[in-house]
Amino acid sequence: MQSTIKELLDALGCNLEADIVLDHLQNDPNYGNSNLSSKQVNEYAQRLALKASNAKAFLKKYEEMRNRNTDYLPDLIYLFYKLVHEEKRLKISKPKVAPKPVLGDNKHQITKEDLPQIKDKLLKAVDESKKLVMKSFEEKEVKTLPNWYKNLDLPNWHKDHPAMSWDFPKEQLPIISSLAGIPVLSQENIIIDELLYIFSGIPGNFIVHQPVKDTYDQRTFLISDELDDALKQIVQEMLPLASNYSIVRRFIESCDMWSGQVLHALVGAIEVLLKDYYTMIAQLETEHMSENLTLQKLWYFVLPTMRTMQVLAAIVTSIGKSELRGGAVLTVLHEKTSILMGDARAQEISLFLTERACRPYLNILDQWIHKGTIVDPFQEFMIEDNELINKEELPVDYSADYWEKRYSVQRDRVPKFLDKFTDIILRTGKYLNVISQCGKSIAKPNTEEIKYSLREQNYGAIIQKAYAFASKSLLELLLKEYDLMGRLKSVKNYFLMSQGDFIVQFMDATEQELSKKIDDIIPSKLESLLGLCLRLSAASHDPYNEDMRVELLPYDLQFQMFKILSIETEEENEYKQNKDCLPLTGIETFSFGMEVKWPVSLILNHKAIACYQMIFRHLFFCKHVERLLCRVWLYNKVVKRFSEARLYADAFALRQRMLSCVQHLQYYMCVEVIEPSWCQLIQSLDKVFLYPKVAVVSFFCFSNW
Amino acid sequence: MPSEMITLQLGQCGNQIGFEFWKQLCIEHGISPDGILEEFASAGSDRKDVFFYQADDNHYIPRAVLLDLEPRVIHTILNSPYAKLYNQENVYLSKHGGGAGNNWASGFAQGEKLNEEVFDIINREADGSDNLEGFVLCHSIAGGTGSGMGSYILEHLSDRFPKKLVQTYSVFPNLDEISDVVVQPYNSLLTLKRLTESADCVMVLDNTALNRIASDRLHIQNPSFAQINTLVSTIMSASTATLRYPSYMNNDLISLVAPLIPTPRLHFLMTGYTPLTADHELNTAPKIRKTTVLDVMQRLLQPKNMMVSLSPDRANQHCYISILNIIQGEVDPSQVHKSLQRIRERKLASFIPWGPASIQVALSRRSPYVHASHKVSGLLLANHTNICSLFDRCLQQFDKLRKREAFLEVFRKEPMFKESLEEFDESRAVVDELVKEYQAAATPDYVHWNPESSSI
Repeated sequence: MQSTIKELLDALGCNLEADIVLDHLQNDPNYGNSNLSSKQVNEYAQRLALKASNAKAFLKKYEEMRNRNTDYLPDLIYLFYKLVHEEKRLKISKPKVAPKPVLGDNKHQITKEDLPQIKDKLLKAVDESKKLVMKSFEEKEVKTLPNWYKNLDLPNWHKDHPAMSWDFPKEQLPIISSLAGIPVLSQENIIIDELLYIFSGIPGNFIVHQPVKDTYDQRTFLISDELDDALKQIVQEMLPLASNYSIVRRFIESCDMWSGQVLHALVGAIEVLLKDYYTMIAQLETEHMSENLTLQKLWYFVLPTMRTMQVLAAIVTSIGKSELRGGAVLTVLHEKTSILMGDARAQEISLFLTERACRPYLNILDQWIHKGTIVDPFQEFMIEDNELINKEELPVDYSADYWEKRYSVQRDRVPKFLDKFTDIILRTGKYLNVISQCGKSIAKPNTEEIKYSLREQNYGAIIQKAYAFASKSLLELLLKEYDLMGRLKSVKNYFLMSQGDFIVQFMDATEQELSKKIDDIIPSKLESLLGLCLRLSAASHDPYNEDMRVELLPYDLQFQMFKILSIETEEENEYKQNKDCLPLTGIETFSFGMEVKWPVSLILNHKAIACYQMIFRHLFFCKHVERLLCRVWLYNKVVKRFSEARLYADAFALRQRMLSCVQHLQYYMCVEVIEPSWCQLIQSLDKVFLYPKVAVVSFFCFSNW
Repeated sequence: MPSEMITLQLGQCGNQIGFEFWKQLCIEHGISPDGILEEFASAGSDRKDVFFYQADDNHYIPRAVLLDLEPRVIHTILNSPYAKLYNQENVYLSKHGGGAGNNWASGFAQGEKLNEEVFDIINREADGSDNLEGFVLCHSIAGGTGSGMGSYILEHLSDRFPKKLVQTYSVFPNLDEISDVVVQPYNSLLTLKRLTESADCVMVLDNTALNRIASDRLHIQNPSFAQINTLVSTIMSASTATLRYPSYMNNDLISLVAPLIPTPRLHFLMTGYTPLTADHELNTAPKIRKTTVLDVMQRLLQPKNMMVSLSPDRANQHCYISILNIIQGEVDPSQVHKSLQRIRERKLASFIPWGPASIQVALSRRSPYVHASHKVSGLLLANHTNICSLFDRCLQQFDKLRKREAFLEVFRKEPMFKESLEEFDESRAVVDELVKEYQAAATPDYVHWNPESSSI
């Protein structure tokens, strides 16, 4: 990480020491939590480059590092960007301060004398930004806290009653008693007594704790100088136990109500372990009382416990230091457990912790994949319910957004061992949710409980099973209760023009209206003509013909396609603007629309309809051209009575060429592309394929072009 | 409803064909002989209203006009179970009932006389439809009524309805046999002129070929009119299948016809159909063979399946101007694609050199009410330059009679020919020019034709 910073700084042309930045970064409360999208990061990098002495070099470096997938790169870029940004603001607010650029500028040669000044400035800026970041973080936290939490008048035990802590007291105590003149044998007895206290977080008379700077620092102890050197050595060996215990304790006590279920479960599990620890100390004390304990024996007894405590301390440190919660905690635990593969006992402990800590999370998961509900008061679960739309509005409102946006995966909350199931989990719950939104109860199949295990067979199989069940029930629901097939058929009839007679009739009826300029068209007239045609043609037997609408889009198909395919270069932009100037005729802008009701709208959502519309517009226009050519044919037929009819043969051959082209194109699109894709879709539906395929396959015909 | 078609049945032959055609349509749409929808027929999949309309009591009435100058055939129809189907007002019988005596001129003159009454019926039918697409005329070109009166109606249809399509199913006489109608060559030629100048699309049904197919393909010795007409009605129903069972394409007649007929004069189409099965009433048990798209499409290109018998013409390299295959049944589009490729590779069909011609395919559904013994069946509509050999034969026979000035007195009785026989020469010129144009169409420089160079 340090090297990354250094490289970046070099590239920026800035003389700042990497260590300082690293320190700041690690102290930054927001560090590691920033959810910057790659696009944002890119933007920051671009802006940074403007400030850098050598913009190109910096950008190159950035690209290179991004390609290497360097850790924390987004965070770093963000920090640097903030620094520069802050600097600018400072400059504006305090113009009296020497307006020297912080970062290398070709005009100002940075001399050696300037360096300390620059460093000061940067540090100041960093401080300032840190405060800002802190503030925003606090604000965010306040926002995310649930309302009920504020209303709770929770006593702040740790602050009001520091003595309640099971850790060493905060303030430092002096060594009050003296061991001077006490024989070594007695010293040993006293020191055993002392150690047993120290092990449970109580300061002694001859060994006292030192205050810690940071919550997860190792605690050091001061041992009375008068202690015998040999004893002192053994005591020194054993003191890490106390230090680790202290760390674990501090971690436990730093957890508050808001820490979330996962941390609570973890703390609970640790407490279980600590209970054994206290029991051991009590037993040691009993031994000591019956004077069976020597310092050597004690050392021998606590040796395994020391290892356990060390593992615990390491785990809680890594969690506590980065202030993880929810799914991220599980990731750390899972990784630790995997790493400890060689150490059976340590792994057992870690596994125990992981399994316990997973329980609440897996319970939420269980609810989600089997019932489609999220019970997640502390926002720990990987899927977040955004509740964009009220249930009551659903049947009326168009609900494509609902499907897309209501549930979102929070990547940072996904435990690593569930990473590859993320999409499946998201979909499973969503499907179940849809089923319950439709007012159907979900008959939950009897499933075994999801349990954490190092090898993922158990939950993998359950998740897959739940997914299969959910997708199958949803598809069956859609097919049986909501007649998805009928819907799709009606889409085919209108948008893919398989209801040829209707299209012909509609074109006959609307020809005049559609040949006008877009502004002169009266949509209501088209609407009524559409209704008329629907009633009169064979389409009148379609139960969904009421849902057809007329849409006039303000752009033509070509423009639309360009917009979708474009890479936004200058040339294309110019082209687009030119395109806009042309007034469009009705034929170019016309498209059908379709009102689809929940929950079929999940499949035939805006996107799908838009795709169908594009296909339709293309087919419609081809049809239009074909009709025009046929009309020319009709006008031409009178020529056969002319004696010199053959003089026109050249023109006729040309018309024929165009007609044949249009008809072959149509034939290709309809018979060789649309129809086979359609058959494929129906076949896969018949087999009750997994649900998302429906949408995929229905797009297939489009992507085939 | 858009794209309605009105059927005009003229003369003995025309009415017989029409009768079979309506019988076939009724079966395919699940309509009983008295016009009532059968119980098994469900709504929604087909379009009956192209050829039928519904009366106030919802029974279906064909958009058909039955015209004849003698009562025999029409009486047979009116005594059949299908009598109630037709709109009685549309059945027009000449009052004196004498017929046209196989005389074109007599038929033409009577057509002129009955002009008012006939076009009253046609106009009424045309007004009764929302968006009339065109007319279908069934007739033979050899007799008196169908050819003479048909010619008169053709001329006036294109005047009165210039933007409507006029399609004819024209039965050409059997040239292998000596006909009992001695003036047949005269009749044919005079009718051909009208077909050339007034019809937009002529489906040539050659009696020679129809008889040959009936005896060779269906193994019927001495086929009856009814049996031959079944063949014709099969073709008529198949060629309108895409109109009646709408799908992606070819849902109106014009989109079927326009690509087939690049230049307005070359509008004589030949047809082919496979596989043909004889009716159940025939004792020969139909042999069912396995049909595939490729098989059907290859057979359609064989001359023996064509409903037109063409004499080979060594002098000219004849070729197809256009081909449309209407394939019905369970068809996988990929098979169609493969078959087209195979046909192209084997060069089974040669096309005109001056245009982008190829085999077009239209896929159509079949009637759900008719049991088809074959999985796939196909109809071929083709515009072939060699069709001129048929006209050439007509010309030759005409010339033979004309040279001898034979049988001209029956024509001289009619006012049209009283003064002169100019009409004959005019018609001959038109048909001759048609033959030449067809021959020219087989050459690459057809489109660059100019009158000066060709006259040299």
